[in-house]
Amino acid sequence: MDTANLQAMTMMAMQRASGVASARALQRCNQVLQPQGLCLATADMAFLQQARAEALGDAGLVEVGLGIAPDLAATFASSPYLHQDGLVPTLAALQEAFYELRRTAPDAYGDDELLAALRLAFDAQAAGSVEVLAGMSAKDLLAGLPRTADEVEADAGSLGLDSEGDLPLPWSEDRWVDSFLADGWDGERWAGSHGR
Amino acid sequence: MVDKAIILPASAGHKAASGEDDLALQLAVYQLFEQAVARYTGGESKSVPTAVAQRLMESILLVLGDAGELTGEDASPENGDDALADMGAGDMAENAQRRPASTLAGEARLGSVRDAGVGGDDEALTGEAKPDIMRDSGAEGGDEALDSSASVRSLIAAHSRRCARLRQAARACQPLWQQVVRTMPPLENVALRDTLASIEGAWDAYDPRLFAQELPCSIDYPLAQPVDPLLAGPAFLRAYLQNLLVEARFLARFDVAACTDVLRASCPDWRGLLVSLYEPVAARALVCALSDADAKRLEVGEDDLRALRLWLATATRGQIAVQLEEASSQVAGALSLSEDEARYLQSFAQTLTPRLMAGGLYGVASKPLP
Repeated sequence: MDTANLQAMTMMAMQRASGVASARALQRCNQVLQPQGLCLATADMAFLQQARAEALGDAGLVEVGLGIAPDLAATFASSPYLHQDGLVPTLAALQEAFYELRRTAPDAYGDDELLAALRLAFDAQAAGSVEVLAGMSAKDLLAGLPRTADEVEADAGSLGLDSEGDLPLPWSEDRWVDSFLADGWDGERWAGSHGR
Repeated sequence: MVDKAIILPASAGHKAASGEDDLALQLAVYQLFEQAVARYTGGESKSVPTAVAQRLMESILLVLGDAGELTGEDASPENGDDALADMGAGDMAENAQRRPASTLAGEARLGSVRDAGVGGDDEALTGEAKPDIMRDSGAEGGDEALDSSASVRSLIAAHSRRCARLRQAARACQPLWQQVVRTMPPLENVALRDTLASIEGAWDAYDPRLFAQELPCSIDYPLAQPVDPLLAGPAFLRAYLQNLLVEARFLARFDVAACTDVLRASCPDWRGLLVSLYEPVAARALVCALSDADAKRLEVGEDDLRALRLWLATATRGQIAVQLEEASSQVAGALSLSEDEARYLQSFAQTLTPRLMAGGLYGVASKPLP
């Protein structure tokens, strides 16, 4: 098979498919936006798809599926800062912010968590300003997410606390056994005054 | 439905595949790519960095078009992949290997992938996902779309079968690795130790559905005869271990202390650096043969060395090459080398000619440093 030919055909097929994807994404967006009195037109979705392609390119990402727009719409539809007036530029900016966050956030965070982080920051710190949101670092954005048990444990460890938030004993039992055998020790067990 | 006149405008010159085959191949690749992204991200994300996307796509193309680069076997219709063979998918693999970074690298192509909206976002992990382009065909296309869908399913099934064969091929490396470990004499080279330790278990961790061309191990130890760089995945590992086994068998024919002396002479830090253990020992054995000394002892007398230097000073490249070939036959006879080992030694001997011409016997037959 002529490889260049296949790649050209693939590209054209993908371009052709983008129209279908756009229609499906539009349908899904409107399903979640309409209950909030919001709506996207076909031209709006084409604009969002174009913005998506650019944002993905800037973030150095490749995406499969319909794109993040339907999920973005579902996440932000109930935001008090989302209005029909300016809906499309806001969604485009949120889309760009999402891909930038996807690029900079650790892989352990799923798309849903990133969307939740964006929504929290959009409604709170940014107060509906996409400019403020775009200026926030991944660390700041993710700080708003509810912390997982692993994160709590990791943070406690960095402060020298154990998983229950207590200061651990300043020695390990293994070392203690070594001390027990050290010169000068008379064999007496530790009396327990060093308990927590 | 999708207008095939638009999608497949340039397929007239295509010899092996029809337009429907092209479409099926494209859809299968889309769908497999989508599944790979879902698998890579654990279903948590629909996007991956460009570099990861390139590796995933390269893997898909290699598996679909595998003509032996991954398994080390010839792809044949008996293997049950007629659909792939008929579509000439092997050329895709050829391209993926020659220009792996180009598969998705162009900005225009990336934009297209992004735009494509390939596959359902919810169904990606189920294996039942259909690219949107196919859904569109299904909605309006009638029988043609069904045919296309069947072809796509057949291609995806073929991909799955090939992945299973690749896992088998990877597991088949385990006995070879065990042979190497058992045969290799205790020459304490860090790179060799780390490489062998890293390879252990790679056959279990290997996942051809993600990265068929990569084995999850780190192979640093340099062979005297490098493996064909076009090989990938289990085929590469098998070829590497086969060569390493030949080297191990050769080294095992000598006294460890004698080998250590030779290695110390060739590189004072032979234990810590990325150096071949075979090369200096084989070179010394060949020099012994050139001097009519006992190759098994790896020692050459000062008089013999002097005579050899004098001969090298006047000998032509052709004369040296001929003598080295004869020397390799002598060593093979003296050490009762197997056919593989003798061939390997002969190939290595050919690489010695320029070294002997350029540097005489420096590093080849020098005495170890005190």
